[in-house]
Amino acid sequence: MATETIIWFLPLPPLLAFFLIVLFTNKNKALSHGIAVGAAGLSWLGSMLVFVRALGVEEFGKHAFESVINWLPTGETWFQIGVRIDPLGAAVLFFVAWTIFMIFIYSIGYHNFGQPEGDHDRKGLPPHGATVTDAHGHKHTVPSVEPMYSRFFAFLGLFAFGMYTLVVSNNLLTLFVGWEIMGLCSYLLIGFWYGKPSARNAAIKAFMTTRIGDVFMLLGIAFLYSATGTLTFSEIFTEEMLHHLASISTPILGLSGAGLIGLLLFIGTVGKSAQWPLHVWLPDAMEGPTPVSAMIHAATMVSAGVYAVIRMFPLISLDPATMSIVAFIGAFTALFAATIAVAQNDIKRVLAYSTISQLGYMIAALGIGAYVAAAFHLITHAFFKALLFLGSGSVIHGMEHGVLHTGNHHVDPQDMFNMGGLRKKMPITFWTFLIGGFALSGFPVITAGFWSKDEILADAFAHGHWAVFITLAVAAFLTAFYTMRQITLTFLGEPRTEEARHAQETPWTMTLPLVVLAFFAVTYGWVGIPEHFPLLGGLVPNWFHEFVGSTLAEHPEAAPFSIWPLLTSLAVALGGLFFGWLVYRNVKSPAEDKLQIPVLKNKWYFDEAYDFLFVKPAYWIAEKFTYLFMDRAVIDGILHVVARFSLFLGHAFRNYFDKPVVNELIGDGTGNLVKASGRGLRFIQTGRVQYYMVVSMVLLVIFAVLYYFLIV
Amino acid sequence: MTPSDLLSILPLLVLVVWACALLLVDLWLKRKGVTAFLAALGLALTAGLALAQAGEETTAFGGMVALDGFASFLNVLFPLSGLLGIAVAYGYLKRMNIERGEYYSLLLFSTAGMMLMAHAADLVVVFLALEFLSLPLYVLAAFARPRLDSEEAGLKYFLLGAFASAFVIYGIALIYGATGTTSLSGIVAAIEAGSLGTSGLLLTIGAALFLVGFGFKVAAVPFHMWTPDVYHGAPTPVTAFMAVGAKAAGFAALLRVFVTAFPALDADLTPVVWVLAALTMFVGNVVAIAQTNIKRMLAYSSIAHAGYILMAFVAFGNPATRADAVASALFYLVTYALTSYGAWAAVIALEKQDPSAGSGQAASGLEINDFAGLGRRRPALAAAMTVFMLSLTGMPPTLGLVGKFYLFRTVIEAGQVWLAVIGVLTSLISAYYYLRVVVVMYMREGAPETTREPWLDFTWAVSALATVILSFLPMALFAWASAAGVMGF
Amino acid sequence: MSIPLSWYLLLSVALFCVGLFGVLSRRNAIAILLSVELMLNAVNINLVAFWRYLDPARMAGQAFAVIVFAVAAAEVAVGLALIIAVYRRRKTVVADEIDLMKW
Repeated sequence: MATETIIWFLPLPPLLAFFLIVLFTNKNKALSHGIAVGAAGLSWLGSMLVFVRALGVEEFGKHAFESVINWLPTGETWFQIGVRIDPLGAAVLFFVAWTIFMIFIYSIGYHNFGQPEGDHDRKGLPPHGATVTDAHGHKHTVPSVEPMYSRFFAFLGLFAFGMYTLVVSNNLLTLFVGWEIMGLCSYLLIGFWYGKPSARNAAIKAFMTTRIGDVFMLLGIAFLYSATGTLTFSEIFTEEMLHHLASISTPILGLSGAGLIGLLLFIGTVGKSAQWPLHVWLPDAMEGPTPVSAMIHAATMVSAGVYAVIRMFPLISLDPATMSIVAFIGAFTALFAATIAVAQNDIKRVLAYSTISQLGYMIAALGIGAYVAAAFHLITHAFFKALLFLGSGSVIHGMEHGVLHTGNHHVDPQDMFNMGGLRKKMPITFWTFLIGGFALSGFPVITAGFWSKDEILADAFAHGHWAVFITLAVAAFLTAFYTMRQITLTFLGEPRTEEARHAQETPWTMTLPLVVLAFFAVTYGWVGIPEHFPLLGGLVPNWFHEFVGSTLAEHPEAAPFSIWPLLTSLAVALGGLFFGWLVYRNVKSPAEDKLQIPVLKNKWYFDEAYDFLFVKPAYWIAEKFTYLFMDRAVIDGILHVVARFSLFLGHAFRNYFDKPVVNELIGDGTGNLVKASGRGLRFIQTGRVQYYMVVSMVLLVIFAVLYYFLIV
Repeated sequence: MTPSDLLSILPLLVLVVWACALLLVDLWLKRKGVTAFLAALGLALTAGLALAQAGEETTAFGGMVALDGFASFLNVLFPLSGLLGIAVAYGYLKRMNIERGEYYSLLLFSTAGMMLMAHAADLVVVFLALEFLSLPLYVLAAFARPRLDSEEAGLKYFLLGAFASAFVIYGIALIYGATGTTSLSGIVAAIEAGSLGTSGLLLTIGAALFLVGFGFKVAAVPFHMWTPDVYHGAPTPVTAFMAVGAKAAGFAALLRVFVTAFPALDADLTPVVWVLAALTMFVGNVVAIAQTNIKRMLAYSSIAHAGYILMAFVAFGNPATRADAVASALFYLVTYALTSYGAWAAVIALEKQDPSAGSGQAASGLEINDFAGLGRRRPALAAAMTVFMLSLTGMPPTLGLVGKFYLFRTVIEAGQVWLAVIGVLTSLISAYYYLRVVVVMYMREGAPETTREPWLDFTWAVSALATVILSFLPMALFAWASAAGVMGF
Repeated sequence: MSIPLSWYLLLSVALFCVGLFGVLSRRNAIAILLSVELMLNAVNINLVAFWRYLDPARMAGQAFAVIVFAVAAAEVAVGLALIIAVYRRRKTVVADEIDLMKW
C-alpha cells in the first residue's frame, strides 16, 4: 500500500473501535477491549510502517509524505484537506503510537479485567472491591472490575482518533478538529467517575479552561485564513507567504500579523498544555482514571499543545515580541510548577505539576528558538512521563490491594506518606519508576531526559538567554529534588502503614507497558547525543537533530558545545537527587516535612485567586448585582437618582421592548406561530382528492393574476 | 432505427425486456424470493451497463433520445434506488401477506420509465416516460389491496396523476404549436431565432402548464396536497420508492427542459420558481411540525426537500451558475435519496402487521411516539435513524449538510440571497420535528417491537454509513454530478 | 382553408375547461376519469390542428396524437381497475367519500 494511503487510514481504526463498542459490544468486556486494543495495535503497526519508510527516504524534509484531496468548494477553488508526515510528524507519530498502544494494554489490567463484579459497585464510581470465598471457605476482598469497562475503551478509542488526526493533519483545520475531539474526550474521561463530585467539577474546570484557549486559537486560525486564504502548512510556510504575514500590521500591541496569529495560536497551547496562567485544570484532572492521566494529561493531549507550537514555529518565530512572550511563559511555568510539586503529597499530583513544569521547559525552548531541542524533549518526556504515570497507577493499584486487605478505607492509597518500602513488594514497578524518575531528573548519560534537557540548557546558554538559562537550571534542580522525594517516600525505607505492607505487584498487562516505556525512556536519548559531547559525542550520530531539523526550510544549527551548561546540568540533576534522598530518607509523616510551606502546598493560591478574581465576581454579578439591582430594596436604599433613572430605563426596556418584542414576539412568538400555523395548515388537508385539485387551481389562478400584474 | 440507436439505450432496453420476461417467469415461480432475486439481478445488470456507458455522448432515434453525462448519472441512480426498493420490500411484503410477484415487475417497469425520462431529449418522450413511470406506481400504491388505505392511496395518486398529465400534455401541445417542434434542441433553436411573434404567448402558457403538471409530480406547493395522503396510505416500501425515484424522475425532466430550453425564457420564470421554491420549503416544513404520524411527517419532509431542490432552478437565471445549479441539484437528489431510503427503512423496521387491516377503519399507522425507547432496544438502528434525521435537517457530520451547502452556495452565487436565507430559516424550523424523533428515541421510555430482516438492516446500515462517510469525502460524487451537469444533444 | 387556426385552439381550450370543470365538480370517480379523458382529447384537437396548419409535411403532430390516445387508453385501464377495487370494498365510487387519510 502506498505510504500516503496508510497515513490516511491511521486514525480510522480507533474511531471504528469507538463506534463498534458503543453500538454493539457494550455488554461484552473482553470483546470491547479486544476491539480497542486491536484497533490501537493496527494504528501502531501502520505508524511504525510509516516511520520506517520515512527513515528510508533521502532528504525526507524536502520529500515529505503528503496527499491532499479537494474537500469543500470555495467559489472557484477548493478547500483542501490532506495528510502530511514530515520528519517532525514522523518523530511525533512514533511516540504517539507507542504510548497510546501501551496505555491501551495497561488499561485492561488497571480496570481489573477478569476480576469478579463488585458487591455494590455502581456506574459512575470507582470499583470498591468484591468479596470472594476461596476453596477453604475463607472470605477475601479482591479488586472488582470497573462497572463501565467498555465505555472506557470506547472513549479511549475516540481520543486516539483525535490524536492521530492531529498528527497526520497537513492543515490547521483538521488539526483543530482533532484538537477539539481530544478536548471532548478529556472532559468525558476526567469525569469518567461522574458519581464523584470532585471528578465532575474537575471535568468542567478542565473543559472550560481549555475552551478559553481554544477560542483564541480559533480566532488565530480565522485570522490566518482571512490573511492567506489557506490553512495548509506547506502553503503557509513559503517564503512569500511568511513575508506577507510579517508585513501586515495589527492594532494590537504593535504586533505584526504573523506575531498576532502566532500569539493567538499560542494561547490555544497555553490552555491545552496547561501553561501558566491557564494551568489550573491539569492537577484537578488527576481525578480521572490513571491511564487517562498518563495518556491525555502527560503523553499525548498536552503534548499536542506543544506540538502545535512546534508545527507553527516558522510563523511564530517571525515576531520577536511573540517569541519573548512564549519564552517568558514557558520559563516561568517551568519554575513555578516545580516549586508547587515539591510540596504535594498525592503521588499523581506531583506528577501533574511536574508535567506542567516540563511542558514549560519545551515552551521556553521554543521561545528561545531551540526548535529541535523542544521536539526532542517533547518526545523523551512523553515516554518517561507516561511511564511515571503508569507506574504511579501501578503503585496506587498495589496500595488499593493493601487497603482491600486491611479493610481500612480511610487510608488514601494515593498519599505518599502512607507508602514506603514498596520496592520489595513491587519490584518491576519500582525499577521502571526509578528509570522514569531518573529520566525526568536528567540523570547523566544513561537516561533520555538528560540528553534532551541538556540540549535545551545548552541552547539557552549558547544564545545568551541568561534569564531563561538560570530559571530552567533552578527548575531542573527542583525537578530532581521532588522526583527523588517521591521515590524515597514511595519505594525506599520501611512501610509506614499496614496497607503498604500488604501491597502487591500488579498483573502483566500493567507491568509490560512499564517495561516497554522504560526501554524508550533510556534509549531514546541516545539518538540525539550532541556531536561534540566529551567521549560519547560522535559515537552515535546525532540522528534526531539531522532528521527533525530538516523539517524547517532553513536547517537549524546545532548549538556549539560548551562545558558550562553540561556542568550545570550535571550539578543540578545529581544535586537535586542527592538532596531529595538526604532530606526525605527519614521523614515519617507530613508534619516532619519542612517544605510543606502553605504557599507551595496551596499551589501559590492560584485556585483561590481565580476563585476570587473570576468565579466569585461572576457569581456576584450574576446573583447580587443583577438580581438585587432589580430589587426594590437596594434601589430604594442605596442608589440615588441616577440609579433610579437607569432602573426606570431598564424597566422600560424590559417591559416594553424585551418582554413583548423580544421574548414573546421573537422568542416564544415565532415558535408558537410556527406551531400554530403548522396545526392550522394541517386542517386544509381534508382527504378529499377533488378538494386538493380545487385548492391548487384557485391558488394557481391567484398566482397567475399576481404574476400578470406584478411582473409582466 | 439503427443498431447504434438501440445500443445507446441498451440499459433501458435490457431492463424493459427483463421486466417483461420476469412477469412471465413469475407465473411458474412458487417462491417469490426467486422473483425478487431475479428482479434485483436485472437492476444490477442495468446499473452496471449504465455505468459502462458513462462518458458517452450521443443522440439516438432522430434526436429524441440523448445519452450524455446527465442521462448516465441518473441511469445509475435509478436502478440503484430500485435495488433498495426491492431490499426494503422483500421482508415487508411477506410480513404483510401481500407477497406477489407483480411487485417486482412493476417496480422494474417504473424504473425503466424513470430511465427513459433521463434520456428524453424530446417532449414527446418526456410525456411517454412520465406515463411509463407513473402507471406502475399507481398500481404499486394500491398494492396492499385489500387494505383500504392502500387502495385509497392508489386511487388518489391516480386521479391526481392523470389530472397532472393532462396539464403536462396540454403544455407540450402548446409548445409544439408555438415552435413547430417537440424536440428540445428544435425548441431552443426556434426561441433563439426570435421569430415567434404572437406564438411567444403560446410558448409561455405552454411552459407554465408544463411547470404546473410537473409541480404536481414533484409535489411542489401548492400542488402538493396529494403527497401526505398517498405516502401515508401506500405500502411503505412503495412510498420510499416513490419519494426517491418518482421525485428524482420529475426533477430530471424539469432539469432537462429548464437547462436546455429555458435560458431563453428564464427572465419570465425565475420569480415564479422563486415563489414556488420558497412556498414549498415553508409549507412543507411548517406543516410537518404538526404531524404525529411518522409517514406523514416524512411525506411533508419530502415536500420540503422538493422545495430545496427547486431552489437550484432559480440559479438557472444566471448563466454563470447554470452548470453548478444542475450539479448541486443532482447532488442533492443523491443526498435525499440515500437519507430518505434509510429513514423509510427504519420506519419499515418498526411497522407491524396492522391489526386494522381488513376492517373498515383507516390504518392508524406508525406514530412518532412509537419510536420511544428505540435507543435502548436497537441502538444501531436508533443511531442510523439519528444520522438520517440529522442529514435531513442538514447537520454535520452527514451528507445532508454537504448537499445543502452546495445548494445554498449556488443560490447565493446566482444572487438570490434571500431565497438562501429562507432555505436556512426553514431548515432551522425543520430541526424541530426531525430532532423530536431523536429525542423520542433516546429520552422516552418504551419498548418498540422491531423486525430484523437482513436486507432491511442492510439498507439502513448502508445508507447511514454512506451518509456519514460521503459527507467527509463528497468530492468524487460532486465531480461526477458536475460532469452530469453538462448536457449535450 | 377558411377556418382560422385560432378557432380550433379556442375549441380545444373550451373542451379542456369543460374537462377541468368536470374533474373538479363531478362526485363520481368514473366521471372524473372521463373528464380527464376530455382534457386529453382537447390536447389531441390542439395537436392535430397545429400539425395541419403549421407543419403538414411532417407527421410529428399526428404521431403525437396517436401516442396520446394510446397512453389515455392505458390510463383508463389502470384507473378503472383501481376504481373497481375501491368499489368492491367500500361500495362507493364517490370521490369525496374516499377520505380515510387526511390531516
